[in-house]
Amino acid sequence: MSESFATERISPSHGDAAVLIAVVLGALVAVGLGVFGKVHEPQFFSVSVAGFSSGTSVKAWLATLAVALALFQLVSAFAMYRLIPGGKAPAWIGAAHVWSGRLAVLASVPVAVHCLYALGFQETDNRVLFHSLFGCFFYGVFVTKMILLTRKGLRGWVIPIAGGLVFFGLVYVWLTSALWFFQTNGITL
Amino acid sequence: MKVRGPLITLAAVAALGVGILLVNISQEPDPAPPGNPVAESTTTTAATTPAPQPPAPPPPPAVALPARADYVGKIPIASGVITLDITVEGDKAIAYACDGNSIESWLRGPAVNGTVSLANKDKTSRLEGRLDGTAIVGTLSIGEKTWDFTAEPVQDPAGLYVYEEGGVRSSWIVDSDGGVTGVLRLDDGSTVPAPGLETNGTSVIDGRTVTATRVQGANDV
Repeated sequence: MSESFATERISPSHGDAAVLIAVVLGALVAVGLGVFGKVHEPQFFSVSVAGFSSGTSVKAWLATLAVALALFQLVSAFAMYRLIPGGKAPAWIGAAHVWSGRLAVLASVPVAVHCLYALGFQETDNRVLFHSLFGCFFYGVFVTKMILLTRKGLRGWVIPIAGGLVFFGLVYVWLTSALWFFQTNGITL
Repeated sequence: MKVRGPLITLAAVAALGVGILLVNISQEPDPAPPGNPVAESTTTTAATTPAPQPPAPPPPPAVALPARADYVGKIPIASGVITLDITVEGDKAIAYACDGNSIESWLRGPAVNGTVSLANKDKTSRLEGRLDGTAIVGTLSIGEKTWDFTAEPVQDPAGLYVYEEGGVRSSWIVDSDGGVTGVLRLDDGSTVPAPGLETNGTSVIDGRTVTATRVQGANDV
């Protein structure tokens, strides 16, 4: 049929090929981040935000902001898909979903740069290993979802699945880092 | 516009990430970063202004630990004092913390770029430290508890000693004043205060005189 397995596959519909391309690109990003984190020499420092007790504290709070916005993402997505009982979603919910999502991912970027630059991909214990894996996964699936959003004619379940995976990734990253930090050090600024 | 929105989001994320990364890299050659540069705002990329009072000075990146050294610190806790010994050899480090009574923990891990990042076998205890002047400062966690510590360099015979036989392990820290703190772990996992350790490194365990082994960072304990 075709010697190239991914992009030239003869697809039942244009939409499926787009999904495949988006997933491949997302996977490349995830693996690329992981490889960068693994081969890059950890520097143990990174630019930080003034006013917090430590760089780790900044990260924990930015990550918590991202997760709070992500929770709003989940709720607003449910509203957009009419999954919340009580009638139709307000007109502004779409824009609110887009902008809360942008803020969430932008809030996560300084944290991720610090992780990758100062620490890198590590597997010293299960928490750290899963945090590293899910951190890479989160940005990969985020890229996939952004690309998917630009496509028309996707099957109805594609965007919700991608969005759900982004949410899952971020929450898991938060559970393995910020929650651990707050449990260890108390809720400190 | 509708279609390009997500791509703009992607570009903004990439730009912010690369921007912060470049700020980081631009600071790299500095042997000691002058302050804690502020890089913030979720939509615009990193503007650097040296903070007059760095709230959390980043660890100096290019300070190396000595090829072989021992550090001892004391941590006051609710039920007494935990004595901590960190022994560094090459790129490996071993730490032992005990209260001379029942609490003890052996930790090991890498020692690179002037930092040590250690954990015990089941990862319930952790130690993160970095060189600050001549001492190692950082945090020690045993179980649910976390303490800050400062461990000063010590000279022989101060350091870490161990004797193990038949599942019974005695571990001692000798501090710079010659004081000894140790815990003996029985084969059932219970812990009791260790018997004394003489200045010649011998100890009397169950009526027998044994010679303790000095522990160095790269040892396989």
